[in-house]
Amino acid sequence: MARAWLHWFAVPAGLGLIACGAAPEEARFPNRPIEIVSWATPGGPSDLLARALAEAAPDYFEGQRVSVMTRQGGAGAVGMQYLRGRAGDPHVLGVFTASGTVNMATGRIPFAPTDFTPILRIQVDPFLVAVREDSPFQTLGDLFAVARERPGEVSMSGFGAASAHFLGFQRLRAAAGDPDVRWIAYEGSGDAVVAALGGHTDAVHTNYNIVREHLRAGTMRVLAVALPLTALRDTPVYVGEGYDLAPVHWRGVVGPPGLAPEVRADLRERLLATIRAAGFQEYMARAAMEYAVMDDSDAFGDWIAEEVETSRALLGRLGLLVNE
Amino acid sequence: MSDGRRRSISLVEAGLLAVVGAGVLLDARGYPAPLIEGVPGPAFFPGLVAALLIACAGVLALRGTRAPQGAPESVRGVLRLLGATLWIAGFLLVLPLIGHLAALPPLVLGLMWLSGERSQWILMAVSLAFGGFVHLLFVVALGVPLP
Amino acid sequence: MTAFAEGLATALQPANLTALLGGSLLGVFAGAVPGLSSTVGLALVLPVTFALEPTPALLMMISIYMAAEYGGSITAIAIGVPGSSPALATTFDGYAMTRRGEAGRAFGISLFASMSGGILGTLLLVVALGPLSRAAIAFGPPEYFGLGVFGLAIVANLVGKDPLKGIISALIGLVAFLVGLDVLTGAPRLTFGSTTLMDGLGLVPMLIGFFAIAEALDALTGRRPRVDGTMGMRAALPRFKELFRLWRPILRGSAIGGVIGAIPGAGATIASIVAWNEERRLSRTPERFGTGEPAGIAAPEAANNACVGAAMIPLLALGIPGSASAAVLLGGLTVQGVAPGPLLMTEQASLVYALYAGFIVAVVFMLAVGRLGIPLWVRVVSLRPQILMPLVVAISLIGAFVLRGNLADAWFALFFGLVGFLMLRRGYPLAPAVLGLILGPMVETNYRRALALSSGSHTVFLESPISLVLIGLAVISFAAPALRGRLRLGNPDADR
Repeated sequence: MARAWLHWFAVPAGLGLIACGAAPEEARFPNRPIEIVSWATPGGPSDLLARALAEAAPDYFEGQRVSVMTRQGGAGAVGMQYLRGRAGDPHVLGVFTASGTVNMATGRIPFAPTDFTPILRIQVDPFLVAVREDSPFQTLGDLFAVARERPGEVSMSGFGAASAHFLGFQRLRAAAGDPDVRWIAYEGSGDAVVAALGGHTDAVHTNYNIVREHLRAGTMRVLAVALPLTALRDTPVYVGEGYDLAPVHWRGVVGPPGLAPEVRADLRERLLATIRAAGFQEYMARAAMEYAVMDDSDAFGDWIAEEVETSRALLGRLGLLVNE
Repeated sequence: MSDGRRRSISLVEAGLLAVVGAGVLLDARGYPAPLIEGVPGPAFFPGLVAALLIACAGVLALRGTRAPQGAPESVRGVLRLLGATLWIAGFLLVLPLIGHLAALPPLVLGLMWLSGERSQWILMAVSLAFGGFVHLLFVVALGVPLP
Repeated sequence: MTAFAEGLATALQPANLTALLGGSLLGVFAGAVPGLSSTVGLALVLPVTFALEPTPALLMMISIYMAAEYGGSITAIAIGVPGSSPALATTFDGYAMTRRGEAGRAFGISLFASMSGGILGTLLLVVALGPLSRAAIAFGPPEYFGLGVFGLAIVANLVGKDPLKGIISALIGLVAFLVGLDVLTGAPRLTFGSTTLMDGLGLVPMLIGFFAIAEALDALTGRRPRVDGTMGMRAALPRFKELFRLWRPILRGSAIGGVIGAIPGAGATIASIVAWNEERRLSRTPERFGTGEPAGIAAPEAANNACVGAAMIPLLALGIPGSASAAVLLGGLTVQGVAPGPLLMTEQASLVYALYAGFIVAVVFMLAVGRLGIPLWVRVVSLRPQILMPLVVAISLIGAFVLRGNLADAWFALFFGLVGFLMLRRGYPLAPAVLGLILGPMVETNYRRALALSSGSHTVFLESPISLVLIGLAVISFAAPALRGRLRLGNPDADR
């Protein structure tokens, strides 16, 4: 099958270790079904991550049923509310992403990183800038040069306003000296790609998995990507182009607040075993995701807090903070 | 209903629509300015809709009553309406607390009673069967967690 | 052709037939329960498909999608509540026919039209994948704006006896759409600081509130007699002759569904309303629309099922989901290791042909499930209203919750129920408000997006021939009823 190339970057088969409960107290965990709360769009990357985890997890949670609990609404607030309300209960987990930190940063939702117990980060999905194959732009430099020459004439489509995608691009733009590139917000990443494909916008700011097939077919080109990807080996990286930053989308797992350190360590081991399972690896390859595991829960917590701070500072500079 | 009374109800109706329009206009004053000069921002469309709504309310108030004529509102009818609304609201309030198995049968039973069903046997059987049906279908067969 | 035959053979293997049957049953159910839709049905089986092989997984998903678009019409015809939003236009004539005691006839027309639309939509997918996907890409902000305005002009045909109240109703729908975060700037509008309102009030709560709760409340006050199905509901199906006489509305509806369904973000709801409206416009007796006209059921039902095949066009050719249901389908495909896009046709042709064949077989299953179900639907209609209405309200509230796992949606439904009740009482038609809520985002967002891209110059709307034609048609369809109204009194009873 033509997707064999995908397996180039699949992580070598996992260790398959099954973590046993760390403390004798926790030997009884898990004693009922596990819920993974998902507040993302059904079928989207974050929702799929939740479902792939639920599919692979039972083997590492003593055979307990693991189900995805859909709680959409309020820009994620409904799901977060549910998770926060289950303080101290390790049977409820949530898929937490960059969008969550941006919504916290804007002040749209009344949540803080401290409302949850960070467990581990699983994926990092670098942003990239892509154009239609016949675009005059060959490099990011070309695009920004034209934007500086003719302010407002270069348009960039992408998912959402004051979203993780938007902020990722604003960070890149700031590093390029704030050339006037017009951000055109779309309802979804797919719609933003169609806009660029149809020539309605000059370029699109998105992630690899959305444009993968268009790159293979040659209908689109990537100007530069934030972090090197195995599948985009010959593509320039932001740093190499002179922009010293790497804005990424990322996804991880958090628990409700108030999990004891040993409970958290237990959950982390079980989840690590889950994401190393063959079934999960297959999903990662098929969804065109590369592992970027951050299995130090404290470091993950710091990462979340730092993301909120960076986003808040940038939003403040752009005048986009919601008045609280 | 007298003509005068119908006219005043019509005015209340127009007034209500105008208040909604004014509320939208008021809220729109707090929206951020357009990001790009010369391009409508987030306040443009709400302003347009609110202005049209207020204009329509004005026409409605001026042209007088043309409401559908029907039988007059009966006191019992209004009581049933209020009862059903409160009953549904009560259901939504207690649903997360007591769960669907306990909350659904009383909801159905109450609404059937208000609709005029008086057979105790039917009231009990239908409401209990419905609760069980929803549970089996959603929770057991489809695996949807209900509160 | 051999590839298609191979695909058909694959689709007819026992495991795949089981998947198709299961999918069709679940699809009809998800379509018929207010609140649930093809999207919810697909999301529910997503975990199930993880465990299946790619082909049965795909077949199960497409049969759900196909059957759900038909399922919506069951509730629309039986009780006047659209089971899912694409069935909205079916309530106009379908429920009117039921009120005449001809539920069986309405169910038969809807099923036949759904089947025809499903097949025609699939044929369109097979023959026009390339050209239509290129057309979908060409649809930019000015064209979407034109389509939105064109759709809003349909309000002119839904206003009923009192045009002013119809327009006010549409404006109420537009105000309701404003609630939530602005797509282009992320600014919260009319949320009053509440996170609950941030994602908007939503179409499904409005449909449930207006058509289930408001109607139930209205019936409770006992001023208007409701349909009492116990008074001799005829289960008689329409004759084949009658069905085949409807070939024109079915063809037109399928064509409209096929084109609008292929445009990402437009969708089956808009397509079916446009199909109903065009049928009415072309009819020599437009005043009969809304009173139980067979063509008024056939056209929208053909359109929403044609949309299923058409929605596959951007998905398969570009890898871009054009609707919420297609997005879930894409998720399922991704997990199965199928990556739709420009290369799919060359690299995985056999799978694509199995998919095409699967669509046809899914239509057959939908037909079987639908046909066997008709006596059951008629029995449901024949329940006494004091039993039926409470059950409809209760399952609608549950459906509103299941949609997003958010109890706020059930509260919104109750809110819309009260608003809808007041509107009914004061003689406001409800359909224009729904149209406002559906098309408001398309009109506003694309108007502003087009101007952002043209730096504020309005000539973009005139430079695009598609946008120009659509806006022109909108002006005509808004002006035509007004002109007709001068000659004779407007259409009676189109006020649902």
